[in-house]
Amino acid sequence: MNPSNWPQRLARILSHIDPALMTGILLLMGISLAVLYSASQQNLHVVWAQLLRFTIGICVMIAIANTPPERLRAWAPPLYAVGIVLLLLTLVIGETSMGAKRWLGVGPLSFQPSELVKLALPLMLAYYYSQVDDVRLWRPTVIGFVLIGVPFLLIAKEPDLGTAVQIAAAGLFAMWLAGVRRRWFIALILLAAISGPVLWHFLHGYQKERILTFLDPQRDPLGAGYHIIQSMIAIGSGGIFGKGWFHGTQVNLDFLPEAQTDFVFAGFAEEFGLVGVLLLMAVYLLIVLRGLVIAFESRSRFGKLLAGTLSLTFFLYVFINMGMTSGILPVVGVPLPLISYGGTAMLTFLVGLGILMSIHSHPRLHD
Amino acid sequence: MIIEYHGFDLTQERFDPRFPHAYPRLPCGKECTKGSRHLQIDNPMKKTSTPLISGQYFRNRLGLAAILVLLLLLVVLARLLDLQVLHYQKFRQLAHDNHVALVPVNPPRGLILADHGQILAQNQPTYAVEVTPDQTSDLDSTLDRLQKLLDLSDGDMARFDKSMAAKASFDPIILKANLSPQQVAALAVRKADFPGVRVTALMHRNYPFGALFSHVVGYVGPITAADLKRHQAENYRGRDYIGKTGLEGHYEQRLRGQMGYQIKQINAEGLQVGTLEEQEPLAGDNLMTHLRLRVQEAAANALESNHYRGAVVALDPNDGHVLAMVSSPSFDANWFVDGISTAHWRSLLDNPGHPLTDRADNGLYPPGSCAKPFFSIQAIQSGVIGPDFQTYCPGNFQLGGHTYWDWNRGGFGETNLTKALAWSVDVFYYKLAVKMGIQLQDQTLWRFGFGKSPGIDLPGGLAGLVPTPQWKRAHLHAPWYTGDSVILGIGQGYLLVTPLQLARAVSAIANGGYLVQPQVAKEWVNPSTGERSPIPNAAPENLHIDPVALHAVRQGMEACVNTGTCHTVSIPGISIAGKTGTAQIPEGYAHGRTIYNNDSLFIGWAPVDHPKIAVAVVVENGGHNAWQALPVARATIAAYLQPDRDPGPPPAHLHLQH
Repeated sequence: MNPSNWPQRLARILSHIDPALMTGILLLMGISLAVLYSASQQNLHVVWAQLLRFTIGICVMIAIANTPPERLRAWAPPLYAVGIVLLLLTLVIGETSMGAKRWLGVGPLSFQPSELVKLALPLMLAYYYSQVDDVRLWRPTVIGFVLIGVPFLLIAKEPDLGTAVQIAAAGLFAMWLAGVRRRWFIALILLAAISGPVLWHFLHGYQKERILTFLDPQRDPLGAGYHIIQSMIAIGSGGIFGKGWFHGTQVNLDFLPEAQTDFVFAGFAEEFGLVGVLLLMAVYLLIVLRGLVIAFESRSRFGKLLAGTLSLTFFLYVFINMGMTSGILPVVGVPLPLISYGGTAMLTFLVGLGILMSIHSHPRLHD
Repeated sequence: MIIEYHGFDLTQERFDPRFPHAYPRLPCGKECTKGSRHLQIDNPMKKTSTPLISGQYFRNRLGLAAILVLLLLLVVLARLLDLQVLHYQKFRQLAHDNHVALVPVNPPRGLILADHGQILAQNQPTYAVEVTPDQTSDLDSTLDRLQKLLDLSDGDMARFDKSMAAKASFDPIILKANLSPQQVAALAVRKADFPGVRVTALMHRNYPFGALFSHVVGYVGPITAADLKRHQAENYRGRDYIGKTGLEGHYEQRLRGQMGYQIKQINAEGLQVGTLEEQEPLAGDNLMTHLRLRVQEAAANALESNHYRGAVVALDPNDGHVLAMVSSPSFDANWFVDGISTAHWRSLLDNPGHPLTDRADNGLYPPGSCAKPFFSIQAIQSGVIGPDFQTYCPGNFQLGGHTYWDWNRGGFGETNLTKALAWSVDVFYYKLAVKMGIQLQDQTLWRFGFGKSPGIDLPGGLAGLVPTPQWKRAHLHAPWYTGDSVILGIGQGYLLVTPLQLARAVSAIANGGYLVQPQVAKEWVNPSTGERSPIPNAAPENLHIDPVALHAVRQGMEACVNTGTCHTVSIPGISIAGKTGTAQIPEGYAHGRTIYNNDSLFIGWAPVDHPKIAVAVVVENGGHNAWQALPVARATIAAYLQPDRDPGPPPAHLHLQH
């Protein structure tokens, strides 16, 4: 602990940063700041706030990257337990906004426990499956479904079906990678298809509305369909080369709702066109593929499962966001990873990427 | 030897004391206490007893997932190609329509002025309250509260509902125009309570003289789909009204000016954030007319004070400039500007006087004796009679066993042309008609402009009817009888003319034989530069009237005023020539006889030698030996030639001297 050797210490800390992932993150950060500057009508305050979040997020990410995976693994059960408790608490004492209890207030702060669960569940599943001898048996499969089902139902009860489905999807990725038999997944898909019409009756009005709107935005062009119509107009009117930075009329004249958050992709596509979108996709692909390579190269089951799950989940968010803004998926509140304005989700993504870096930079783990 | 364990090459594993937990607790995890640093490696061979996830298995699953990732990315990419490439044009247009609004900017409509500059039609700024349904918090409650606050009628509200049905809910709709200052003030203080409600200034067409010029100046009214078909619709985007009748209709194109526009950039709230392009409107030109307020007033007063139905046309006989054009009863042109209310419309329709008809150029009357001067000229010029032709009037005329009575059944005795015109001797003209024959009669009438539209700069301008044998055969399926010619000789029968045609024809006698083209408009005045551009009318057409014939007829018409049937027209100090007429209109049958309604007519000019004004007056339903047109004509002439002098009481009617 010689204070004079801090450069070496720093270098060692930084050595845990994965260059490929970091490149992707910095590119996304640059894109994010540029898009937000335009979408906020060139409000520098927004850019600074986002930059501050990035800085904090990257610091947290580096800290996580320096945390050995086995410590993360040790945290998995308690984190999961805390997540479930907080979800329960949310249902009981959560803050109600727009008819849903999603936020938990702690003094002046409030946060969504579902964000925590987004990381806790993959950790828990990776933890669990890394120590199961034979995942092909029915018992570990059922336990996996229970581990997924509890937070899924709690979040769906808030109600926040979108997040619940995303979390469940992340869990299913983990089970898939862990090697749970295919028949279970096929059965699950069949069950979903059959029970869809039944479940329809249990959906809340706004949920039905979202799905109907997704199927036909024009049925309520000034109401529920407005978001998606304006978003598609923004994307489509961008054309191949885009309208240019600051020249997106949809985004700059407020036609595009949520232009800094959930619909940031539409504003980006409007100003930078298909060319910009291809670049953005390339960056995301870089991150996801790098994550999959990390999973591939990891020598521990825990590392493999976690890295694969996190990478796929990261991609899932990219896909859902791009899909909903371009009108091929129903509108669910999903931010575009590392581009959308907002702190909590960004932190979740950066922590996830930090875990990937940790798995990769601590290669010695094995089960 | 390579030991494979869960797909990992264990030979590569090394112990790192910094990460004690790097080593698996399984399956002996229970024994491992936290913080324990001792190395435990299980015998991997134990694990092979149950099927495990092999490295290969994981790789397969990961590979499938990676393929899924790429497939989903391709799906998104396909969607983006669909939106950004295939449907680029459509979405570009939608985005454009979203944020660009073409806002028409209306130019002020040109004024219409009388010859001395009195304003006949003007634009008045008024305030209107507009409601934008989309921007109100609750449309029904907003309307209810507005109705109470502004004391609006249920009719206003019903009209709003009707316009709302035709417009998009993001367009502002006028709830009430012509707000009183109190209403504007009441709304101003409660502005915050009424989101989506605005008070806007409108230019409102106004006719200061109300009913006085309603027929000739016309009026504007709300644009209808039919109007847009006649005019270029793009000139009327955002306009509320269009010239419908009279000068407002005829000169619509130049009065309205040229629409300007503003291409605004608007944001999602509909607020303007910038102007992309702007084109100033071009104000409509002011229209200066030949109309004389005093003449018009005098003529209208003379008709209206006696509740006469009729018309007055006063022309400058030298060039056809219309000095006055009155049709009575009239109506208030201002009623039409905002769309006429049902009550007003009913009152106009139910009025037996048909106030909407412009009798001056669309009223058809048999000219009666007013036709006589024209036949006289033609007869002399064609050599049918000489200027000193004389005939005896016994009080009736026999033809083919039928008796045609003179209006004075006692007869006039020996009658020359002057006496025939002065006393309107019917027998003289019965005989003349027989001598002339229908062909020459028709020629006469056509020559003086009857039977065709006089070409005035107003909509309508009926042609009237000059009967021909062909016409009679075609429409009445009967041959032309000499008897038809006989009554045509005193302007009766099938002949129909308008007061305007009469004024024009008499102008030709007044000015020495030139048929003028009547015109109301004088010149355009550019409202900003003051530049004047005259609106010339066609040069008078020379009718080549024989001076001898002209002189004889003028003498007769002068005598008519000085000593004859229209003596009551005469004004001291002004020489006037004229001719009365009584048109018999069959009204119905009673007691086996046709009941005629006699319209009273007068045509004439003054002064006789250097004519300045020619008039034609018709008063309907005058009764037998109708004279009602005479004081009207007198007032009209006096108002023009002696504007500052009271013409005094009309001279006593001269009695027939046999």
